[in-house]
Amino acid sequence: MFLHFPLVLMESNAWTQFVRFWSFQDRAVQTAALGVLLLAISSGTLGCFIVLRRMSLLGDSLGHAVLPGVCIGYLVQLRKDPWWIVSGALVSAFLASWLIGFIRRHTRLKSDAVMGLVLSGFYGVGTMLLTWIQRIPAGNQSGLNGFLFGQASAISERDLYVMGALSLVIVGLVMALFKELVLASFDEGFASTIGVPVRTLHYLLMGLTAIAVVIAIQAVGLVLVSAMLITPAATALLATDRMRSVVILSVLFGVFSGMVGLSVSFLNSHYPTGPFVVLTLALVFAGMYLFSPRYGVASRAIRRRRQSQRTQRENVLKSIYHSLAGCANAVKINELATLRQETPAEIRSTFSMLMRRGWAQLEGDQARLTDAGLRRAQELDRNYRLWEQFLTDEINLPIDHTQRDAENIEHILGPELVRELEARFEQRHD
Amino acid sequence: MSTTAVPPNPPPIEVHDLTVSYDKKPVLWNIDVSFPEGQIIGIIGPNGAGKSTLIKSIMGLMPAESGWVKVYGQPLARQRRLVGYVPQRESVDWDFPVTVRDVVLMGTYGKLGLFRRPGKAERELCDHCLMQVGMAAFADRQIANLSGGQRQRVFLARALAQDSRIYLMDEPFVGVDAATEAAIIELLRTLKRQNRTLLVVHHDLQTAPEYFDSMLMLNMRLVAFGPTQEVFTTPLLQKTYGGRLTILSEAAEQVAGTRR
Repeated sequence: MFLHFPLVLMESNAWTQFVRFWSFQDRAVQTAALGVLLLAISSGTLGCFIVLRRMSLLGDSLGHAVLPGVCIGYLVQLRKDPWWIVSGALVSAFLASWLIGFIRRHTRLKSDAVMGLVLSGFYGVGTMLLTWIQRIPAGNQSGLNGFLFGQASAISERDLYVMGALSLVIVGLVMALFKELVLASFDEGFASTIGVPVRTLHYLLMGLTAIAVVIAIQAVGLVLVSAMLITPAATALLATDRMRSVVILSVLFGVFSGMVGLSVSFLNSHYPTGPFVVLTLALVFAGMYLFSPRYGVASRAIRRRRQSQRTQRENVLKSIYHSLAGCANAVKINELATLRQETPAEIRSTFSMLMRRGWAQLEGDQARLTDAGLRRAQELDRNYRLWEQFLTDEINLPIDHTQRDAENIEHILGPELVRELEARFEQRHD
Repeated sequence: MSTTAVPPNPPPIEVHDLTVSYDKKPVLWNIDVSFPEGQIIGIIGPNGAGKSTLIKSIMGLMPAESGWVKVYGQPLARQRRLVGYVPQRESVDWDFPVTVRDVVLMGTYGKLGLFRRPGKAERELCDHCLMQVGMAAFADRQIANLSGGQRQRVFLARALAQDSRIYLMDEPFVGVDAATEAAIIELLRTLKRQNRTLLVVHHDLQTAPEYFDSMLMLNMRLVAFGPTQEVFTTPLLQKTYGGRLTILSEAAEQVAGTRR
């Protein structure tokens, strides 16, 4: 279907639009970008706590549950008055969370089922009201249809003030109560024993979540609003182990994806903003999943590969060292190959790694160790012996069992552990 | 010392006629006990006896259906700073993005109160507490990479940072290595020498008589409480662990039935 667009025209058009967007000169762009910025900051901050407290599904439920309130807020004034819409959304969100709790207490249903139930019920009522609004004469221009999938260009300057005030409330409260929120999220029982009002904090978080949903709804739409709460925080959790950095990164990921998504949707006024923002978020998450320095799948594979290369390299270093200890100070590549039971080509490729490290030199087919190489080889040899001694003396492994373990561990032992091993054996020999 | 009748010093913890229900089912019936100061007190009993429930309801984590708890003669809400708590290790998510030091610092939050952030003094206290449990070198580690014993030590360091008169500990010896077990009991004895009161939920009958000055034997009701040599006897153990409780559990089921 999309192939019918005149592609060439689209592209040149797209480029100028793109430049127009990222120069932020347009008033419309400024308003939309500011709105997205505010929503990314507020959802990104709160999202961290929602994800860590396993309230993600609740965030999603609240996102859907605000729709009836938004519609009723519209109906009061028959126009998109931000304060009425926010109030309606809040009432609706509180009603939904109260209902979730009520059904939980009085049935034996578990919370996921109850949340699903309330979520879809409220969403149903909301869609019904929305359809009805669009039928009434004033409703056509209501701008409410942007609420489903998000239309950042529909954010008015008046909306911005409300969004700004609400974001300030969220960020301010989270910062002021940061220490208590972290404690209550990590260990609710302990928090409560030292007098932290954990229940109040829980309801406060739910209330703030409802507010964050309302802030986000115009730009990303209520169907995708939970992505703004969950994905940036989840991505940040893959990247770092410190709570403060989690919050900061979560906001940054949200802002980045928001801006990219907005710029894409800006290329064509019919594109909704939400899907592009969420798509960018998903891509950022995928990138982090693969390349997060510590936990990334690809990063771990690279680390493992480096370790195995290192083992191989150091084993060749040791072979040279051992054959040198016997006779002259240079050894032929072919002899080395026989010794290691590898082909000369394999040895040459590993040997080039040694040379790059400055551990060895090659003169013709004569391999020779440099001073640095010699030192590292001696160190490895010593680690090997230390570990072998540890295995036989302290683990009481028979001597024929120790060799293989020691071969592998000598490349891994850190300087601290080596010092400890040395201290142990020196003590004994005194 | 006065010769006239002086009201006795209130005990560290007094539990009066405490009944607690879990999910509408009574799990503790009419517990009446008063713990003496400066002792290591074991709470023992079979699974489902309500050991953790007792500790949690003393700490106000589970609402009492009837009865009350007093800490040095006052309700807990006014005495929170006097009571430290070591929850079960499994009760928290160890993947949480905090470091060992962050967790220990949480022990100082009670005294800090709202809005104040831990400063240099708190940091030093926390490093000292980590040293006491032999975890000083781990201060900047992320908690996910700790072993079970190390996690328990971190929880104990956090409790030390609370600097309380009374400590309630829920199964601190479960699933820890021998070295940690020895370190914990040593720490408990140090705290006892400072005249602090320690209430410890324990499940290992082998070590119980060696660890505790007094014992509370529990099986939904209070079976016995007293000095270890008096209560750690075969008849009382049989009474605690024996299967003579069907009537109580049956009654609990029926109570729950009328409430659902």
